[in-house]
Amino acid sequence: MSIKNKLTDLLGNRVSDAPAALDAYRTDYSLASPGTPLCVAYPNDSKEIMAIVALANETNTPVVPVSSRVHFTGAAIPKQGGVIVDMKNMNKIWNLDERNRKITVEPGVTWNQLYPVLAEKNLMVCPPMLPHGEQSVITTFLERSPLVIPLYEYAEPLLSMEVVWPNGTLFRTGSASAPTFPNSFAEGVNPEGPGTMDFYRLLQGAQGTMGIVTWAIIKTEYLSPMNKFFFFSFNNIEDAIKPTYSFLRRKIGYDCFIMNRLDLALICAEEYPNEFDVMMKKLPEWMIVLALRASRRRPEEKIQYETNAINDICRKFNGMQYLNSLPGSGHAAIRLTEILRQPWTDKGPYWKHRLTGNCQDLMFITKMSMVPEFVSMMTKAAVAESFPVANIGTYIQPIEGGRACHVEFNMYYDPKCDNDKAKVLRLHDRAAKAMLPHGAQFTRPYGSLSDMVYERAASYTATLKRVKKIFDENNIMNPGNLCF
Amino acid sequence: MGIPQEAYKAMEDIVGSQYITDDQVIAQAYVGRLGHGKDTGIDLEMNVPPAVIVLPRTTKEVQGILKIAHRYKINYVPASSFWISHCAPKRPNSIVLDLKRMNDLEIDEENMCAICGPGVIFSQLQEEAIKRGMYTTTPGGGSQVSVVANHINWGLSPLNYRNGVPGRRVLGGEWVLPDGELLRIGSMSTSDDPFWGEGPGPDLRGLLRGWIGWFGAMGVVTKLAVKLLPFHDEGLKPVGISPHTTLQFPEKKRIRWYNFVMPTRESLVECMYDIGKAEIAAALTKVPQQWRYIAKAGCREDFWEGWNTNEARKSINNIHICRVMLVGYASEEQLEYEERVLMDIMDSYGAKLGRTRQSDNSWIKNADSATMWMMTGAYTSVQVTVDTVDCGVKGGEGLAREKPAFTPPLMDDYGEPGWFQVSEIGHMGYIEFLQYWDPNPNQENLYKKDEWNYIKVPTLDAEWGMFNAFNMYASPMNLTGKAYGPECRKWFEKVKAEFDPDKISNDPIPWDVDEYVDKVDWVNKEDYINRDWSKG
Amino acid sequence: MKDNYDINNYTYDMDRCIGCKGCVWVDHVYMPGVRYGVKCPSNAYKLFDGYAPMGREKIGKALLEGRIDYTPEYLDVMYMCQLCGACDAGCKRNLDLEPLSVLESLRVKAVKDGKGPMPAHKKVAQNIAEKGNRYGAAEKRSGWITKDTKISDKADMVYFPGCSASYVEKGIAQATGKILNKAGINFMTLGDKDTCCGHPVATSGMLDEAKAIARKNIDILKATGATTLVTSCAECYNTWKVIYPKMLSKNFADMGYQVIHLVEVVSKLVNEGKFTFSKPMNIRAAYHDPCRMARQGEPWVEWEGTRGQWGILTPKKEYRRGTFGVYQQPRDILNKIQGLDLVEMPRMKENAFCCGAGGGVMDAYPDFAMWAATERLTEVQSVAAEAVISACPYCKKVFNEASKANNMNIKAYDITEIILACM
Repeated sequence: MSIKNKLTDLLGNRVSDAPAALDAYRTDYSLASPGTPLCVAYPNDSKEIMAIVALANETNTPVVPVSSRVHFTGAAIPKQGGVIVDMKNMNKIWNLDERNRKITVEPGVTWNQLYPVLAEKNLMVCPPMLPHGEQSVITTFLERSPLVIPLYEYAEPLLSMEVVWPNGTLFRTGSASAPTFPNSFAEGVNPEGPGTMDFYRLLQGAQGTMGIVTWAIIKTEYLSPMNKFFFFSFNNIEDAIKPTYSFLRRKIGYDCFIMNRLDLALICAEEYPNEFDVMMKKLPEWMIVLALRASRRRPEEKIQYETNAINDICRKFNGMQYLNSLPGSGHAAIRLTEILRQPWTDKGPYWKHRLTGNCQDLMFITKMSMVPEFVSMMTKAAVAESFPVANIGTYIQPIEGGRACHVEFNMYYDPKCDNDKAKVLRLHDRAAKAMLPHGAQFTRPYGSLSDMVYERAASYTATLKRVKKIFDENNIMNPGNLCF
Repeated sequence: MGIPQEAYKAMEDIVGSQYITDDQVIAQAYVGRLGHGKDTGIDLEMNVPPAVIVLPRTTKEVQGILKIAHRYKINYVPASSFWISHCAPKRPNSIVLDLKRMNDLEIDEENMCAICGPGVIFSQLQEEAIKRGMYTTTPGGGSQVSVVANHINWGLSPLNYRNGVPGRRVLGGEWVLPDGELLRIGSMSTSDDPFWGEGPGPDLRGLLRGWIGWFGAMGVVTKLAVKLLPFHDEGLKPVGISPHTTLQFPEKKRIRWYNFVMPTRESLVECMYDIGKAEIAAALTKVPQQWRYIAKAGCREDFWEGWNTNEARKSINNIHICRVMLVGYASEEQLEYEERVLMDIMDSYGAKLGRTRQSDNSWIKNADSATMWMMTGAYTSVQVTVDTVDCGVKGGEGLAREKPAFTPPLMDDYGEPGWFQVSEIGHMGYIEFLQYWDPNPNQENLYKKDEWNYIKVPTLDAEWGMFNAFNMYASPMNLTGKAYGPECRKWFEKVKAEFDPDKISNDPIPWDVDEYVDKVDWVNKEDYINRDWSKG
Repeated sequence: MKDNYDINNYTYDMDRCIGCKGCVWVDHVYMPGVRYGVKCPSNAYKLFDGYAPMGREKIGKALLEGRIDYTPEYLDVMYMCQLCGACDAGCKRNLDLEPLSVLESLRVKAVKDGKGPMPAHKKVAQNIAEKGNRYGAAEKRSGWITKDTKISDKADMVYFPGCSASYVEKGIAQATGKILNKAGINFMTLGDKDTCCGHPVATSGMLDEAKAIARKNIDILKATGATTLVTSCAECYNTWKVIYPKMLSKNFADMGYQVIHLVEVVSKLVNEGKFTFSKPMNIRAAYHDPCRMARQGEPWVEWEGTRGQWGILTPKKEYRRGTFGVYQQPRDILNKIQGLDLVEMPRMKENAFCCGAGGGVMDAYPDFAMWAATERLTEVQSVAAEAVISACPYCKKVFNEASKANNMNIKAYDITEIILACM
């Protein structure tokens, strides 16, 4: 009896091996090689997932969990065939708890779906930079997308989760592990444990290799009643670093990031390409974007003391100037106020696909002080590969008060041009190889990065494999990714 | 008996003869009976002197020692400050790794992290941090505990209010696995800089600690970067002569304590929620009544004169103190703004602002954990749950109702429903439930303090659905390890079997309570082993 | 009558130690960082916890309970300690246990059991018994007295110079005499009855011999009719003010005499404007608090009673926590001297790191004493001071020896010499 038939016994018509259905999972927006699944299953709940995983173990069949409706990294492309477990039916949202500022979502819940539910109550989930509306909220956080608000020390919004381990058992992490949950005093807001292990950390960055999360409790924050944007212009990235450290050390502002002209124009231009073109002419090379956002009490006063603190810092930087609107776009501040709290909602392509149709990201964690060095390395690599430097966007997202930052180079290319694709792939690998020994932390090693990174991380890799073996004896969970 | 001579010689060659001893006089200094867990059943019954004490200096030396222990199958116990009875040898012929020489401390001021050896204690780190306009959160465990050990085990403090629990503040580092192999975690997995905690792919910090750590049952962390947090830059001045030493707050309005008397316990809880939602403050905690009496007392006898009164008894239900710290991270103006918001909130509850000293001697740099033993000579916390504030309040009130059945031998605290505070700007609350007893062995039913600690509270936790970090160490794994997750114990067993199959890294932790209750006659194990915990 | 040196009176204190290491660490409020974070010299020198007060208490308890016996290592553990009392002030920061009394009493027990003291201590005791001074010197004790020192035949104040200032650091005794003269204070000495205070005998645990010396000295003082004894030595100061009444189970207040250190005399006059300095001294110097005058400088308060449930004492005990030691007086004096740039070391006042010489360590473990002194001098260097000033001749001597041995170029002075030079 084929695995498809066995799955059909479990799920009825929520299984398919129709070529058209499978084709959707063969490729994504990344440069990863295609991979074809045996079939796709659409479970409705964790019990069905447990049954699928048990069956996969019996038959030594790979299981590839899929939550988002759009993919950018290649992680959900089946590398060794197997069953796609597509959780699009598991898209329930419940327990919006205003008192304790949390919400529970299933993996199929997308940003498009979650945003209005929260906004209605003046709430939000601390957002990453303009996620695609069809991305799964849970996957976004499991895959460590950095948040645009570096104010909070406890950056991770994921709290307790339910997971089906690769051996098919069901488990709750964090305080939801209490035996009677949810009929318990504990409400699942503590992500740690239970006991001596932080199970949630083993699921983070795992690209679906360590288990299938079936719901997660996510921390919510308040939308601000009042906002004020500050834009600081720089011709050199070096000059932008110290002021950013200063703002964040004094806990000023909520959203704070640095972008180069290209990325900023791409996200701020409401009308593409006309407004984009104007902005490309008028924007400086680099810009710090800092958003003051008032709390619910005495909002004006909060904005005022933070404005005064910014002025104080500007004085210390020899009268550093700022603008409250962007050159080339009088309404950019208003637009940013809105869009930084939402998924990408503009008509037309996703912001990363606006320029040339596709984008390959190279992203890593580093210290802000090291950013100029990496920018310079990226430029040199682009020149060496004859890739137009003008087509590289740069987004620097400070994390946790500037303790570290996420650096993202967006290499825009034409997906229809094979030459472009080959070039961008070479550039991606050349730049990564150059940056890795200089301390770039590729915590999300997708595609070709994984071999590069794991070869260097000898003890980590060896231990990861031992841990993986404990949880996934048969290596059925999304094999072929990371070092597994 | 001791350990094989050749093993001793090999370790001596690694560290040098002055840093190793098998002298049984010196060994007596390492027999349990210290810190949290002192005078509980396990401390009294299971702790034994070590065969050898060794003081390594470097990661390489620790690796060498662990490899020798692994080769000769010798149990070892790593310990930094010996402030917890879990890190005292419970097997004969053990090696103690006293890590105090590993006290390297490096501060990355720009990127707000401290790279610590396990011998560095909190007050040392705090001094260096405050000098640079930053701080760490000195935990309830005290200023004298190891920064590394505390971060990988526990680390709660009212100063976590803005900063989250310390498990989230562990960054990169070096971890010697039980067999002596070196694992570099976080950014140290691919570089020599430990500034970041996540490694490539799944985060192996998840193996290092959970809601609590392994207490040395999974090898030795020899270097760890931990987060430092932004503070004000006016410094804090130490003043006074012992025992009246304190850190004086600067005249500039950059840091202030406020003590409010709330009209009811309900209003105390509600104002905590409101303060969190207003996103102000740097610390937010309830003050338990017995602490007020300790603070007022010049000595133990003074405390009891105050506590043995009707006024004290009534105070549990009549006096509700909310203690708030504001910090002007950005400026004095920030503090002034937050003060106005705070007063708005407190006025709405009819709170009264009490006289408050503008200094600190119990949280920022000095944490008086030892004072917990002042009242009776013995103390433990039996409940340390972080979940919502509501969860903490319900759990504390529940335990207060159950405690009289165990009082005496526990000290009568008049129904005090525990110490609760707020974490992560109101997203979380923390309840700590404390008990005190007289450890004098010539008392009737003294075993009941262990029954309360090891069996009753964990049972109530599981029934009510509390999330007690101490569960895995202060209860049988056959109870809480079975109930939570569920069956989280099976993962711990598998991990231990994979990384320490011979159980030489601080055996029998974390299964010590199971072993202990096997030997006593006051536990009916069937009650919890056969129970279906999913039904409460 | 209660025996304050009977270890059985301190089993509660040993058992209730919780290992917070308040006995080892500098008060956390004053914690200067990793370097200079430890105030216990023996645990800084010998890193095993057996050499920390909390470890010694556990070891002592093991001995009392028969789990271990006397061994050479046991004696090292008990005697490789200056009895500097840093542990005592630290413990009483939180718990009011009595680690110093425990350590002293364990030495007394070792002597009673025929195992202590160390051979070097026996030699010192023999010197005192035979020659009246710790060095065994045959010379007259009054050799320090110069012609221009005015010593009265009869006065209310007796200057008690002690062995060191009488034989080795004579300049301190001479300076003291001249300062008192300048202040117009009449004083006398004990003349040919002047002898050792017995401090080395007491600290080595030879209780019976120490008591005999105490009784004899008290009788000699009484016979003079004087009511105040002034010292220039912190050890002598402590012996008369603390050890004598403690050995004799009396309150110091009932001893019938007052004890003051010269700095207390001078600082009072300085603060009243009655003593001024006319000469500058251009040095940057750190003041070293001598243990026995600073954190151990509070007078002995006798307590006898019972311990009940919860460990409650009846009657209440008045604790000596080191709060009211002689800390500020020397600083007041030094701050009045023009050109003298007084700086504080990281470990100061009740947290000061002992010079290393006390508690019989200089006699039995001279290497350890020198190590401790050197360690302290690095602290002097850390605050960029060129000199260290103390108020005890033993501190001055060991500091100068350590400075010379290590080419540290730090000069150690006694405060009396500084006062004299600037008068």
